[in-house]
Amino acid sequence: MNERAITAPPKVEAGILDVLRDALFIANKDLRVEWRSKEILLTTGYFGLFVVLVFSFSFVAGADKESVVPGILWVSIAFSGALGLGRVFEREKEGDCIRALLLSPIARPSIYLGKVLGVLVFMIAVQLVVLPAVWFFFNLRMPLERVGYLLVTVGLGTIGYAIVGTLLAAMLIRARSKDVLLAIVLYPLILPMLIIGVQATGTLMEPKLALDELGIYIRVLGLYDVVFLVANLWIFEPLLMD
Amino acid sequence: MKRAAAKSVTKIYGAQRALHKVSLTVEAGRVTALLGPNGAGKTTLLWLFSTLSAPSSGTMHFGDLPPERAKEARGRIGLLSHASLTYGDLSGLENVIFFGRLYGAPNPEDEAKALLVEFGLEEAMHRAAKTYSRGMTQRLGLARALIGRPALVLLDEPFTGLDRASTRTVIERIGILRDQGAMVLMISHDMETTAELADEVAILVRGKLKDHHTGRLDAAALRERYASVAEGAA
Repeated sequence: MNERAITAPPKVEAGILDVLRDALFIANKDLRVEWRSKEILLTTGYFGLFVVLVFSFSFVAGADKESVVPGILWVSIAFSGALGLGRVFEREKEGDCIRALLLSPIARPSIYLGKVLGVLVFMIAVQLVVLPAVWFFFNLRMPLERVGYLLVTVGLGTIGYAIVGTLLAAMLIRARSKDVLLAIVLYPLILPMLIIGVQATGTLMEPKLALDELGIYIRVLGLYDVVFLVANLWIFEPLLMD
Repeated sequence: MKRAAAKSVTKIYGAQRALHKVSLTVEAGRVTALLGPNGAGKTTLLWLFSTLSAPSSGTMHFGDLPPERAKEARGRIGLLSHASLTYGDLSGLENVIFFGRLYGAPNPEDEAKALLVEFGLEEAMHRAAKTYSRGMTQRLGLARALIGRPALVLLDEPFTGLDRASTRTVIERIGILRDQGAMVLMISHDMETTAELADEVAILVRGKLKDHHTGRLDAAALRERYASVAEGAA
């Protein structure tokens, strides 16, 4: 090992495949760490399930559960997601690992994308608990075709949430009271996405499915994701500089 | 990259001026020791050399890169700081392999294992890093810092927490890095090891470079010089 030359060639200009490969390294590392501690999955999953449970008892006497389900579903996603977001970057702060990541020669979008991917996987895992819980506690009936639309809607919303939330969590990594600050800055930014998500889910609960209306909602959710992804890739590095 | 230099750099944090018009060049194949009392600005200067912090005024130069492209030198810089810069829930080996991949090491697993063996962590390499002692964490941090085969090695108190045998290993490794042509910038309060390693000594006091001696000094001469500069300025 002592013979290792110090003149290793620096990584060449990163192409899109390099960016994606490095992002996968980082996401894989986050998932491996989480698999060992299960800290985020247990806390966010428990919290999401708890919210659904409390709401299900609140509306037990209501005649029209379907009208409240969209709100409950998206509130569960929004609140449980915020819990996990803070912790994802807290781990980078422990041992000051974020500096080691920033010092490495990988393109900065790789770090951002890797973290987004990690957050996305955590959130999807939590939704695998929350969605069936909503189904069960509210005794929902929905044709299979609509289930597909619901998954697309929730999927696009979750991607948008991860895209916006990851940037904000990174931005607040060195802030005091970052959990409070995260909630303050996160919710106004994801509010448009939440409103569209609730509207789209509400459309799916109607007796007659308005596909045109649903299509518009899904396109707006997609646009939200693309706009914030492009903007966040651009501003990620300056936000993390000293 | 044969040279890294700070040219008249000032760093201000809020109302606090951490560095004031400091100029320092680090050359290939030489170990430069950065000395000074607490709060002198040593770590701040090290961060500027790491490119993770930008000077408030003045410029940082890395090889032939113009100052505005200084951050392209990342990947050629290995940093050992006060924090371990490693993930506690990953094993020592996983940590070094992870960073090896980010640095594009051709064979990260073999290189990581070799570095961990070199730093005496062969038996602990599969254990979670959070179970390591202070000295083991320090050695793991060194292995992580060196996996990218850096041309510029930045060491913030590399001997902290190390026992005598580990200190000797690290001293030998720094010597090898120098022989291989690396630039080494090292902060240390240990005059014995500094005297053994340093080819030049820079002394910072309250954010100003008060002395820059190019040439080797024995421990007694170094102590005397430090006392006259640092304590004389206090």
